[in-house]
Amino acid sequence: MSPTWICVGTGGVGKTTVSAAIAMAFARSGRRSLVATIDPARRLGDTLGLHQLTGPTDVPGELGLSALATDSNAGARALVEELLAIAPLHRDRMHASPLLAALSGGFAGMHELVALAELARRAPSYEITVIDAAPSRHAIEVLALPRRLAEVIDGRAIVWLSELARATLGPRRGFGSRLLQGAKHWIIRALASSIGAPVIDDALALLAFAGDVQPELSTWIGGASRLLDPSSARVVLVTTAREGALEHVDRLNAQLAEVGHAPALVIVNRVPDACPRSLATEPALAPWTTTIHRAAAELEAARVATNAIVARAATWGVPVIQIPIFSASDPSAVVGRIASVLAAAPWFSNERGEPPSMPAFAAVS
Amino acid sequence: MSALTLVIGKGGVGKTTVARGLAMRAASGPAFPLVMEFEGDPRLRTARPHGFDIEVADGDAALRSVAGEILGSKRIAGALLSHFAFRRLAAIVPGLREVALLVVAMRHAEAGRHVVVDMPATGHGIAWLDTVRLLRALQPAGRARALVDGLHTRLADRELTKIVVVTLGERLVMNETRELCRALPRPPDLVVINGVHRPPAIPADVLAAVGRVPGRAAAVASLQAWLTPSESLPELGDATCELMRYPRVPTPSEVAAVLDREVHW
Repeated sequence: MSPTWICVGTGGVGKTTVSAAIAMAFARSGRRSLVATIDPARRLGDTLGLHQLTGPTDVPGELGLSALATDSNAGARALVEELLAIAPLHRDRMHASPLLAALSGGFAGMHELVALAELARRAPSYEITVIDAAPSRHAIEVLALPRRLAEVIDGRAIVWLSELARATLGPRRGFGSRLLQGAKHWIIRALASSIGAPVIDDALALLAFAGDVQPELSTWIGGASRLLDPSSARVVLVTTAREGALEHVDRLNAQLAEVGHAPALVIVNRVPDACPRSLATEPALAPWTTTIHRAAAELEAARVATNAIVARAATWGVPVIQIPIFSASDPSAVVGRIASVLAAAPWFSNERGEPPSMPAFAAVS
Repeated sequence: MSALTLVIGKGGVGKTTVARGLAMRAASGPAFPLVMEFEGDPRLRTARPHGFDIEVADGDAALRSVAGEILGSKRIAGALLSHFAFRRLAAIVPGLREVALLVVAMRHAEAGRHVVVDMPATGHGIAWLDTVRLLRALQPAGRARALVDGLHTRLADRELTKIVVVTLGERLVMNETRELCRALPRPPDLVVINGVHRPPAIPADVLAAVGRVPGRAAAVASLQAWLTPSESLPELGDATCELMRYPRVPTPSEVAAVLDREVHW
């Protein structure tokens, strides 16, 4: 299985643009590529100049490149219906379940999970998959989410919980007897009195349903889990050249380590390539000396931050790619230019296992 | 003066600086301000350098404390959350920790603190507020109901809770911010547009002439890129406030001064 590239980084560093550019670089080298966003903030379409982005959409003018933003609400509903077809006895109860409605209606974190599962289903049709993750801390949590879910679904926890649910929710028992049943279930009583019996019943019914469709749920989560598994996923740490960037990079690296990942590539975006300080001596620019010094200070600080990140990545043995500042009114033009920088980097030819060469499909810019 | 302020926006827009600026502004008030942050080192429980505390939120601790409140017993809550099956269940139920953290923030506010919450980045930040609505839809009873209703009432009340949206003066970010504002349960009390760049203009012909001097072209090009001002931005709401990047990125105390000028609550 080809690796999944996952771009993580603090917000506003150009993560979406870089994700799209990585997929574009691979597509131009002749590999069928998909860039997918699991961030509920839907920026990917704007970045690639696509107005509608729901199912996988071919990017016009870029052969072999598709983009995907999943509709998590529809995805969650489809999953529930699929599972109910396997365990139809639960259908009425689940259709009336406020808890299930809330869960599939986009509780925090649910969006990403559904998006990942959907992506896991589609990824096999592509040679390269690039995931534009949600910002920072949350992205890291998303990396661990399928595994945490699998701990419930694959372990004895679901067995215990669904047995508890079935014992408490016996079909012919009255409401009162259910609550009083067994000293073993004191937890249920405590929960029912402080949260409300109907909510607890609803939760138990959901657990019983989950217990009955455990193998299917397990397969569903397994897909997302494999997609993000440290053995097959490559994390791209994206940052911008600016003061304090090294701190962000270190923090992200530490957070990644917590969930068993390490960066495979560091991309420093918006690296200034020249410093205007020397211009302060130009007589024609004399009225703007303060402005020039201010610009120079900012751009020098960006350079210093970039060098620090390059040095840090060297200690990790991770390649770094620096992206210059590209300004264009059309965001998709910027993606194309970043893709060209990526394709020219030694990292890219190593990835393709080929000697450095011109991309098979040259950019038309 | 309101006792609970939620600062929301996508990552990297300067939410933390604005949150700290808001806390500094409140430092002269009667309640000692507390900033709750979600990223960063939990050891950063501060030495009150600017007249406010910083607490890096701990989701698990918040969950234990709120579960104890609901179940009426810290012991039962502790036993429940350390039971192997319930512990794993609590780890996957989305939004649970987040709401627990909001409850903790609310409790601090009720105890007389001026609390500024530096919320997690957009999308997630919104989902978090939405979780409160979803929890109410489950129609819980007992202490859980009182808690969720209390939270809802507080968040809906403009006097008790202020919602501050932070954004950047860039087109794509602004588009997202507009969507964010629409998804909020009510319009924000303030939109802070950060990093607005309006450096002095240098005439194009002057720059072009210097650019023709041998060896100057690259320096002029990078100066020109830096001089590009922020676009003029569409109106996002009644109360907006711009934070300039020129002549330098404002410190929290300068942010506090700007907010003091522009904010009347």
